[in-house]
Amino acid sequence: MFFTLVFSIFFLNEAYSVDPEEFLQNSKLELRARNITKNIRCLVCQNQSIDESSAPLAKDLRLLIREKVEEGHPDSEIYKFLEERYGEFILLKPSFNMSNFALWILPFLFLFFGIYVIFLHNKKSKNF
Amino acid sequence: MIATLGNFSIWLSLLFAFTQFVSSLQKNNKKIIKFNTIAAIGLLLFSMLSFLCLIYSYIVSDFSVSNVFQNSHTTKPLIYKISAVWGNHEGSMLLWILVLAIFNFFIFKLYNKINFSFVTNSLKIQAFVTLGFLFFTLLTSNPFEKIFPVPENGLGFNPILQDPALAIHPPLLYIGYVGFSAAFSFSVAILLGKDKKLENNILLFDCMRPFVLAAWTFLTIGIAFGSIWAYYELGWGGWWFWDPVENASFMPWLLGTALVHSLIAVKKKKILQKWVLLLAILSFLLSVIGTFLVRSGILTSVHAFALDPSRGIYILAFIAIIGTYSLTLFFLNSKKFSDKKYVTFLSREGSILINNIIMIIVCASVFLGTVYPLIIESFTGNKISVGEPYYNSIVVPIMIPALIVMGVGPLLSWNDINFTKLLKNSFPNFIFVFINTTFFVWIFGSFNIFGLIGIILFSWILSNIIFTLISNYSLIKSLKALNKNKIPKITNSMLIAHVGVALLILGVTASSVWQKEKIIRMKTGESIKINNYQVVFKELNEIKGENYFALQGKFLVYDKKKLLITELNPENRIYPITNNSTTEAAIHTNLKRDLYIVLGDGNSDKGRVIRIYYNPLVIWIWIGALLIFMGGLISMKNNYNPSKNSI
Amino acid sequence: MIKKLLAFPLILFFFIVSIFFYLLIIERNPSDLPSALIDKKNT
Repeated sequence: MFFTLVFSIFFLNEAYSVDPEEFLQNSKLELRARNITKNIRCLVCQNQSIDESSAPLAKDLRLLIREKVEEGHPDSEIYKFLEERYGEFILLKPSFNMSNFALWILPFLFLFFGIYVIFLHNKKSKNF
Repeated sequence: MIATLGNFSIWLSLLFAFTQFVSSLQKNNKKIIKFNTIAAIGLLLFSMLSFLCLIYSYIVSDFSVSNVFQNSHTTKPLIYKISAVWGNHEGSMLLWILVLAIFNFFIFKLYNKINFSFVTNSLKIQAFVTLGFLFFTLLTSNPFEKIFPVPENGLGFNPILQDPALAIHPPLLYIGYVGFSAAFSFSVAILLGKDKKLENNILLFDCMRPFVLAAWTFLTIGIAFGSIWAYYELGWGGWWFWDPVENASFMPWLLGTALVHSLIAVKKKKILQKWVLLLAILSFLLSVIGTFLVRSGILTSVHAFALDPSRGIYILAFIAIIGTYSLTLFFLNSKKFSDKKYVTFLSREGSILINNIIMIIVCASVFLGTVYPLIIESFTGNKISVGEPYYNSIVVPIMIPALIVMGVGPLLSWNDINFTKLLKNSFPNFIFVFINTTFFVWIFGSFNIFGLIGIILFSWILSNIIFTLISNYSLIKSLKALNKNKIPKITNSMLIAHVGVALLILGVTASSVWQKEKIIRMKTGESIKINNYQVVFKELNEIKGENYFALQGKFLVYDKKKLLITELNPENRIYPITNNSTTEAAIHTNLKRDLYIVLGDGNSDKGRVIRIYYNPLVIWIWIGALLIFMGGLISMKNNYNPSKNSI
Repeated sequence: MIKKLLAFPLILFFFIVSIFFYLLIIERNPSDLPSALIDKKNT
């Protein structure tokens, strides 16, 4: 009796992330939708994608995205829609634009600079 | 009473650290040594005493201490009462100080007789760093703060942290972070040194080695324990999430990796000294910056500590002081450490240089990703997110060349080698790689470009080690090797650590590329098939644990021949004291795969949501990390005392 | 050239520290939603 009471109090409103009922019938579309939800940040959580999150808002977004996928919108359009509606903050993979330019370019600049440094050492060694 | 003693001990530690800091003001060298002896031992004893006092307060649940009240509870098992000491901000600072004091003591003990002015300078810097953290603890986060009236019981403690892996994770990690402080002190002391003779300086660089090895080795295993915990506790079948907290430990690790390897090049070829100085400074700065990021509440993270801006300001001021001082010193004094020697690609030192540069690039990219949202926010006010997909698409491609080079490294000798000869030597490797890769892709039965690359890298590193071993053995045996320098020397530590990396790559690749997932709603009695296994949901029970209640599922797993493999019992727990709930995944591990079950929500009419993962080769990630750790330990043992090695 | 490169870590360090400092002294809570999103949360 005590047990049942404890359980009914604590476990009533538990919800864990993506639900099988949300899945789309078409497995190809489902795969696409799932992939998108993994790249979308749960706005009310700390650092999770909506696929992992148990928040109600995340569930709404999952359903919304699946709806969009089923309606035949391409991925890029869905990302754009979400970005316009909720802001850049929602994208876990920042889009490539003016302010994020450095974020995407710098690692490769580092790489080229590194290669340059190695070649510098190597060239000198031949003259030496 | 005990808490007062603990508090008093911190003040005494402060006194000793201060003594050590000013000891060089003494005119007489003998007196300086005497002062340092007293200071190093006193600091060690009293920081240990204060730490033990805090442990004692936790064990007896002395709730008059605010820190104990906040983080402990009488119903907690003893082991987690103890681990709660470092599971919170204030207590972990005390541990941090203890580790600093231990390293400080070893600097004194190991090198006091080698080079007087160098060791005195190192101890001075180390004392300054220790003073910084002591003041920080005393002024902003004193763990012995009293509370009145004394509460009847504690506020409990996050149940997600009540876990064996997480209990030992912080101490291991702190040995790593704090170990770099020794490298930092040495680096600054070398820069301060007046001796221009290269030979003498090389010996000083060698002093750094056991400390850097200790830091890097323990950081490796510390990160591994954190990942293991994330793997089974967070219930996502994953083990690395690119969370800022993880990045904070990964960045010093990357620089530490570069540092460990550069130090070998310094010793063998007397090159890269300037690199080492900078790397040593940066790896400690990054360790402290990581601490700052996590504890100042400046960014959001799953595991962020409590927010308190005054702490943030303090640590940042401290970072600014030591960073400005050391980097200015580097800017002014590092020129004399330039070497006139150059490096060719096809040599051991060439491969070390290339790997170094890539490690630094990866570290810079991770740093960029971590702080970029902060930079954007302070300039434009916009908030952006940089998450897992960014890191995966940037870090993975940059890492690949490093791993290719790492494979070929052991094959190379310290001087340059003919390219055609190298190609000829690696011919059996190519065959091995081809066969091995075909085998694994065939096993998994599906083609995937990342999987393919990962398996090739794994085979490449492994085959190079195997064939180097074979050829070394036959060379020595045939006695043809009159010139021993021609044989690329490989040490046991390197061998073990590199095999560890190969296995790590295998595990990482297989578990991320060939993972299988089933999310379904199941009623008791129903069953589902996942990759040749039949999983039957037998029953659901309500159980009572030591300080929690749980719903426990009973799942039976059968193989193709209908033989029972195992019973898995995932749980949903509720801790009534703190009103926290956790999901406990149930995992069955063998050398080939993990079966991973998580119990979700639902009820008896509709059934429950069950998530089942088939994760191939996960155990090899942990075995790999363990081998890297062992390699590090062996290397530590071999490089324990550089003065003996060099003379 | 080399001399200038040696100053690079120092300059970068100042840049990063000043940004951290700025973010610490302004009023902000990192877990807050960007203000533009709050009213759209439930739509």
